[in-house]
Amino acid sequence: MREIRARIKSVKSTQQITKAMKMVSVAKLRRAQSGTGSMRLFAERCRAVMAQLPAEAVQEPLLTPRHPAENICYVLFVGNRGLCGPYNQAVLRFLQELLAAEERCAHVVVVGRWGRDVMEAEDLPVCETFAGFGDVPSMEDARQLAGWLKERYLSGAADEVHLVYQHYQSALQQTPVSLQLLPARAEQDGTGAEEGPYLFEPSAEEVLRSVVELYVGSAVFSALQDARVAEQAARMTAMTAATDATEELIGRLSLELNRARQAAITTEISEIVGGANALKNGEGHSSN
Amino acid sequence: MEDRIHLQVITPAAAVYDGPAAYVQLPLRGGSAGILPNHAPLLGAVEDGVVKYTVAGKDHYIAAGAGVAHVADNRVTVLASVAEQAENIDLARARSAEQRARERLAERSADVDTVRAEAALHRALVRQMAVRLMKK
Repeated sequence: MREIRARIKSVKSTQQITKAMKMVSVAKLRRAQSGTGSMRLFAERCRAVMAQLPAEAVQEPLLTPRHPAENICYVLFVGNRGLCGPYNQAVLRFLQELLAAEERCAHVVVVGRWGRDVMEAEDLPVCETFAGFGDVPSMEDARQLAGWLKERYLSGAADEVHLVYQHYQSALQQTPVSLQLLPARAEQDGTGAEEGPYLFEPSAEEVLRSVVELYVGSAVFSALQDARVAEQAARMTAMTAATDATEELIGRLSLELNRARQAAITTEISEIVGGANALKNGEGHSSN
Repeated sequence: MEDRIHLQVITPAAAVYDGPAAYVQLPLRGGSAGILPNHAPLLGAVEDGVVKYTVAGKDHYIAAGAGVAHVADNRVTVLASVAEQAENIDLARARSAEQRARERLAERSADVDTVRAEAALHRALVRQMAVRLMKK
């Protein structure tokens, strides 16, 4: 009985922890989500500006695919912590599948604190780890990462850069996706130049450079943010499940405890009754 | 003057301003440019600087990071990596950022990223300028 009581106590304190973690991730999820609001509008406008640029100006190295592209850089976004269900494992598996299918030379850049030892055990070609980003990513973080990736791309160490992260679909569903960051694909959807000839200040090339800069920065930012939102959602789901499981376990354990206590009481009573009867019988004998 | 321009200042994190304006002044790379209603279509590279706009006869200021401006059909869209309304700028923080950047530049050692420090210094100065302009 004492052991069961001790177990119930420990399960209860675990439950408190999982409950608290759930609350924290709910709050963080909300905060991370509030930052994603204007992302789509921003990307849309970026593309609109790109579409207005004359095709002959589109000679930016960040936009031009290289042939042949030999070195592929995958940027893997994992969480900062574990305890979020299959979130980290799933995206890692997804990356491994990509790597297995990849015939060209590939290497990996990891963003997030989770699982350094796991990656080592899996023997991934990790060349760099960014672990300093907070749970609510800022534009400054994104700019730093984007700058680093751009340098790598321009220096020729990578001919293509892909972002691999968990995309937030809903609170219950996150799917790993892969997105090509560099070379950025200029989308010429034919709707351009509807406003007539544009003035360029100071020149079309300068405008293009600025917009590509923005586009790459915002793409990294959105991936970072999407991954964080997905992480918090995954943690929330995992912690809800854990809280429910502890609830069930506590129920089962209390049932067991009550049974044991009932059994103990029954034994005690029958012992007392037996003892009393024996005494009574003994008295009867002696008085006779 | 009627507020006939629709001005949008957008960063990936938030829409900093979305509303009417009578006049917009943009810190373009080739020099600052004033936009009045019925401006010709224009695409401009925006530098770190202060975007000024006039609503109902009052001037407002936004400290914006580098980006692009798109002017067409009386709509002005400024896309920037960062932007902040002058009213929301924390002057003390901007000052300390300036100080830090200056210290880093003064060190002149090999591990100081001069380009980044200069950019940070520039941003801090732009933010302070926006506040100064607002208070004038």
